[in-house]
Amino acid sequence: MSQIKALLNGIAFHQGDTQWYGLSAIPEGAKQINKKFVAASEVSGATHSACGSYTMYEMPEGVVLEVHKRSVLNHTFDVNLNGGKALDEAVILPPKDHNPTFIEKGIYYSSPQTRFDPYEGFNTKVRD
Amino acid sequence: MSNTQQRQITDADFTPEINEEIKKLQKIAIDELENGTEYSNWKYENTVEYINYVLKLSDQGKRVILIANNPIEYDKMFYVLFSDDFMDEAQIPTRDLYNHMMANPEEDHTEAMKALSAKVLGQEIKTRLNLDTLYHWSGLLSEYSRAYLMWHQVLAYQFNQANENQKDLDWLWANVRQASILKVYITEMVILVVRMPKEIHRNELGFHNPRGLAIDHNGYGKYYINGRPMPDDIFSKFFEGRLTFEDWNNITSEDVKAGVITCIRETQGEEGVLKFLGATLIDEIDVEHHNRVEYKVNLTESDIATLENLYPGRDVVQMVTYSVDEAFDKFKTEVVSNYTENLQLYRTTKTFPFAMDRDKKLGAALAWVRFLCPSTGSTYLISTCPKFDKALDAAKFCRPAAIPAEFPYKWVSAN
Repeated sequence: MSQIKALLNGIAFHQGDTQWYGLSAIPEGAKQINKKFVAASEVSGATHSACGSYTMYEMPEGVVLEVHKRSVLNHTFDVNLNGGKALDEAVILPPKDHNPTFIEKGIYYSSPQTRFDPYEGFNTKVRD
Repeated sequence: MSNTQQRQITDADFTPEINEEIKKLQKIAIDELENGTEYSNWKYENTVEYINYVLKLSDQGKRVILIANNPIEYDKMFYVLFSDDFMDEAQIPTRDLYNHMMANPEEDHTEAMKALSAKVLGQEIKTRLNLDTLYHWSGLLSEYSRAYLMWHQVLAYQFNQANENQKDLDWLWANVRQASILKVYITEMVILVVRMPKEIHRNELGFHNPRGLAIDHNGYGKYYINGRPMPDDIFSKFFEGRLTFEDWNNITSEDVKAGVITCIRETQGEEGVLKFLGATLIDEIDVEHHNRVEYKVNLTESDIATLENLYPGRDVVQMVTYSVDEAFDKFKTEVVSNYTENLQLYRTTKTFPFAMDRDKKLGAALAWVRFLCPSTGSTYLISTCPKFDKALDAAKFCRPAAIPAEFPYKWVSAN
């Protein structure tokens, strides 16, 4: 976690409960994975999904995206991802609730907003 | 064939005058449906007449038309009519009426159909219904029929593209709202119909009603807040005044919690929210974020001509509007808008034996940061540690664990 802190470049944006922070480099230990949605709602079936040219990495408590070319962060139903094919194209998909967000070329860390759990005394990820 | 010459309609045909006419037609299509007038003016005879017209158009014979007032009645009538349990009570009388209709085609059978609907609906069902009931999709017999027929009005009378069946389309448009059909199930003898809802409430985001059902079938229906469906059990309890603060606090979905708070805020204001929570406003701040950059398409006629040559057959305005490819940036103007976010920190006036603060000390108060979603306008109360006295510090605390407190709370984009 301290590694992320050292790499923050000052850029931050959010789409609903997913927060995004610009990084100056890919953190050490980030493991490359196949593209997938960034977050999904347990109730509505909607996802926050980055669509375009990027490489995805897994980190504790989040993901890192190395965006090669301007991409789009969509909040859309899973079915609109066309079995994952739409993740490769920088397209605006039919929005569920949140408007689409353009993600410029760069490296970003994404993790959900957190909430304080008064029963446990620490923060947990926001659920929707 | 129609005398009018068919031609392709493009964006350029949608003049301000025509768009105004389309808006008027859209209002005609849905206003009285949404405000309850269509439901209260409805007559059984109107639905029968409309369906008979559609049957005649498709060279089909008349059917026994039975009408349910809402989807619950529809489920019950479907079961009674099409399961084997009600042969004497429903199926034989339906067949008898059908045979009578065939033998006496000139008679008006509406009263007999009304009586049969009531008889079918009145059957006692001992088992709890959990049906996956069937519907037929038809362009002329569904909730979408009025939209389909409305666009034919636009084609015929705004773009001079009358259909060869325009007389029938005009009759159907004039009568589709009085028929007020939501769904139908069609068999050889009987058509089972469910009526449109009594009222539909919406805002600019979609279905929305902070005072009760958004889709209201006269007391039964669906709850929505800002376009999001809300769970029946929690929201019926809330609107009956039985949802306690403890119930709300135990809801795991932040969207559902936000739905409840949005209802309270829109009907009782901020004071109502604080009263429900047993909380006071501790701190409030307006945070000025980085200016948001959006894009506005700025195509000249010459640009359009060039692009249409490059991309034949494409709607180039739409293509440029929705493309994120840098190649199209030269056709876009950056529109910079200021974004100021109001953050509020709430804390309960009393403490709770089960509640901890972040030092794991029991007997703490409960606290929340109030965020307003910039896309939906919904009010989110995100739980935070009660030791904070500043809304900004509490909002920073709701960020991912990897983000340090000293990192500025400023978004370049918020949706």
